[in-house]
Amino acid sequence: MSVIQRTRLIGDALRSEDSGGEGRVREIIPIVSLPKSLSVGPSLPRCPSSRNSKTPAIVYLIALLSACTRTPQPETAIEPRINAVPIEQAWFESQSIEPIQGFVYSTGHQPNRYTLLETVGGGVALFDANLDGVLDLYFVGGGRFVNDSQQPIAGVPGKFYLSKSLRGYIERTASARIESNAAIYSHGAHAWDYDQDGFPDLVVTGYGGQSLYRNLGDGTFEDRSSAAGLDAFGWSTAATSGDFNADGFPDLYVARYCKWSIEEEANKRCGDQDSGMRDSCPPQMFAPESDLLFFSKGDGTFLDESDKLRGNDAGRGLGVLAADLNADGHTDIYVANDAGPNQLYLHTDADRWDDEALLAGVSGNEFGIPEGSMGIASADVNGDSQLDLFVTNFELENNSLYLGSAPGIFQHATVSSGLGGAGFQYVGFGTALADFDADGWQDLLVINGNVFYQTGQTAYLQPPLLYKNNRGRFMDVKTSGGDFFRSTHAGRGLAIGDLDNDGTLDFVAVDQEKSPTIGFGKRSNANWVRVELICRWGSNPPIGGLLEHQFDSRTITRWCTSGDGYLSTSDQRIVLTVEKDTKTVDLTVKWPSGKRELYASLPVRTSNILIEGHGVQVRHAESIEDKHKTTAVR
Amino acid sequence: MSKSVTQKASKTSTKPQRSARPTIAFQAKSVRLILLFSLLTAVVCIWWLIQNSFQGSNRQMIEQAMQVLKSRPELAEQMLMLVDNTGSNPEVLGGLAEAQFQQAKFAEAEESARKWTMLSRANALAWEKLAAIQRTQNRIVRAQETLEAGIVLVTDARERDLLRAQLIEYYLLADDRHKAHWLNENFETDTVRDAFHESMNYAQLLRLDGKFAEAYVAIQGYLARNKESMPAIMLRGVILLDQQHYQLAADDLAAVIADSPNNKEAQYKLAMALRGLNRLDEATNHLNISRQLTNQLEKETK
Repeated sequence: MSVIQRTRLIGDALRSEDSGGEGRVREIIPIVSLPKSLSVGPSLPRCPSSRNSKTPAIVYLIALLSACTRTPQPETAIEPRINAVPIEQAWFESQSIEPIQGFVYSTGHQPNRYTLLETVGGGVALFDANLDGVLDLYFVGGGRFVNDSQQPIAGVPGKFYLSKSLRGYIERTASARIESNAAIYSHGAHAWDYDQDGFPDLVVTGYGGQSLYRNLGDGTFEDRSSAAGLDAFGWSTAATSGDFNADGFPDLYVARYCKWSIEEEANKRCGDQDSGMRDSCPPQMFAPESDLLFFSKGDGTFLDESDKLRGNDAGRGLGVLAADLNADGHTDIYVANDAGPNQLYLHTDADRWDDEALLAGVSGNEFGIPEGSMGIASADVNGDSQLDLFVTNFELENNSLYLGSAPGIFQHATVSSGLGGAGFQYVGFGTALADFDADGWQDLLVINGNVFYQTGQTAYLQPPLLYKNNRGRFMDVKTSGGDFFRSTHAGRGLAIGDLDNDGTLDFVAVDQEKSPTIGFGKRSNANWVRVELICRWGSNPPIGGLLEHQFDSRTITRWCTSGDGYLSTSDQRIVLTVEKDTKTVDLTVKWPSGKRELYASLPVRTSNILIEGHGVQVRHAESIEDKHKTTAVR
Repeated sequence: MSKSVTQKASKTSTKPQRSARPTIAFQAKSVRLILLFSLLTAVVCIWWLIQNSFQGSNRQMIEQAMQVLKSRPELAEQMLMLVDNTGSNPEVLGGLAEAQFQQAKFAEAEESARKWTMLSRANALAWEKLAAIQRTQNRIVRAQETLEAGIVLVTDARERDLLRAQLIEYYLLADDRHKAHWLNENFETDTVRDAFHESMNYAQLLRLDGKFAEAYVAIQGYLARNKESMPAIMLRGVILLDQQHYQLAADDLAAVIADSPNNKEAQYKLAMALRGLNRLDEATNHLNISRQLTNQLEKETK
């Protein structure tokens, strides 16, 4: 299906809504159908089972012996392998893809120069720029330091890779005119359709401000930063979008880090005072900066409405998530702050957002102590149909899992979910909650890497973490993750998506000064269906919307959120695991407008666009679960 | 004739001379040897006496230093440095580590303790001290590694177990229940194992497993033996909160706060319990106190 056909179909479907099309199902548009026999790479050697009681003992003994035979160094760490579970096949296959292997995120690090700026890292956006049904990639470039007293920091252009086939890409940075602003040392990439023309646009954040690139739909982009009023100076990191004020136009939230200058840091001479080793300064040495909230005026320009964030105490924001976190139909904002309390801006009736993180129980660790937070992931972890949050943290702090127990109320559940100690020795950055093994439960991926080159308590290069969700309890399956999980990294940005459209979720991890890693998921033999939600009012995907379906005798709920990961944009299409022995699946969508619709008989192993107003409208009690009960009675 | 007589006489006179000279020489040599031997013996005796006296004086000084270690650690450090500043006396190094630790001279204390562990590899106390110094500096990973190394090198099984019990506590600080469990399953002596199973740390370990009911039983057992232990009451409150017994949790946590109003963790947990009871105003009040205490601590740290 061509781009024009696809856009036309969406347009026709939206128009047909106005003429009253309730009850029809022709708006369910399969885009890509794949054969059931999908190629998978060679399987890796079977990993030893932890049920063999001698194995962890031997591993642990070796670790202990190595600890005593060497001079203790900060780099040393004993890897927990006690909880590893037997896995028949590696979860991911890392694959080198030309020309992406030629890309390296530039930190600009130079010998004897240590800056906070280079520690933040960069991300990647996975988005279908040309609407051909396959994800394209945009990597931010980072920056470098130059001997210019006027402008000592220069941006390095990012790279745009267009998909030419499944797992095949071609670089199109120059021809797409998406070379980022040379004045911005870039960190984040957020894809969103700000002008609602169907083509996803791009915001690039960094030290120096943010750039807005409008997707013209002809394979090129146009820098609209100044024209849109988004070119405020500052150190912006993560961005997210949604129709925050529910006026029908997509708005933008930009998290900012701190008030920093290269001269100020040079004067501080940070590092280990005892050994004399120099390193970058901790963020606490610089004043935090307040975030920005831009409301779209609907004409391609924005208004700075940051004062609508009540209790907007400046924080050192690195991660930001837009989602309906208290189930009131409005889009809320959760901000992960480094070296300070996290913020949860819940929408209020007065069209303001109040920071309720403390009372909601998501401001810090189990005892409310603020941590150094970086990445955010969200999903229903324990199957109670409540949206849960996961936040990665600094070394010597556990990553935090907050289970939603009621709308807007969370319980700190790192320990009770089996994640205690998981990230304690690492500095966590990118993270994702996704059903990698296609069992209906959201698994966890975290990539790590220290910010201190030589004075951290743990090593600079650190291994990623992979946890299987076993009905709400997490089990370490890192040893079965594949090559990527056996090596150490200076990991930062992370995005997930179905890059090869095979129904399994893949990941893209961005390292510091190293080629990115693309891991293709290999664990799924299950049926699947992929959906993209298009609502008639507000932002697309419809942040705050959710969909439900039946799998493994329970209702699985999936939310539309924006900003998951770290400085990155993940695939906004939703891949659902469905029963193996079925040919079609029924889905219930709850749109942000509050309308519930049933989309019946979607064929498995296809990609579908579900457009608001074109499903069978159902009351809450007539959701998919009840329909199944009815069917069973019959 | 005279010549011959003279020669004869000289011959006769030389004979006894020849036979007398070696005797005299031998006697002189013997005397010299005896004198030398006596001298050497005297030197050794004097050296031994001096050494003994010096060692006695060192011993006395070490003992005095140990006595003032808590009250005047700076004086203790000076005294110990006088005894041995070469870093070759394990006892001195142990005392130095403690004295420097008391003065918050953590880098020096760590160096002394490290030398102590090098000289006394089988001494559990040395490893424990080094780990404690690292722990105080919030270098918990290093502290864990130190104790892990100590467990391998200490030869006495009971001492090893004591290090294990200490290491479990450090793992619990990191919420690392997997490693804590592994150690718990590998105690070598019953006494230490039993003592651990009666400790607060065991209740905390069960809590980390999500075995809240068993954790509650364990902490109740501990509280039966240590009725006034506020940390134990705090832990019981936390476990009750885990079990969503909000009122009971609030009671315990309120008792902790009554004892220690600046306990920011208890303030926060009490707020969570009150939130569960839908007493939101009170919860907010305690959250604000917790936040103020945290901010205050941050300022003090800066």
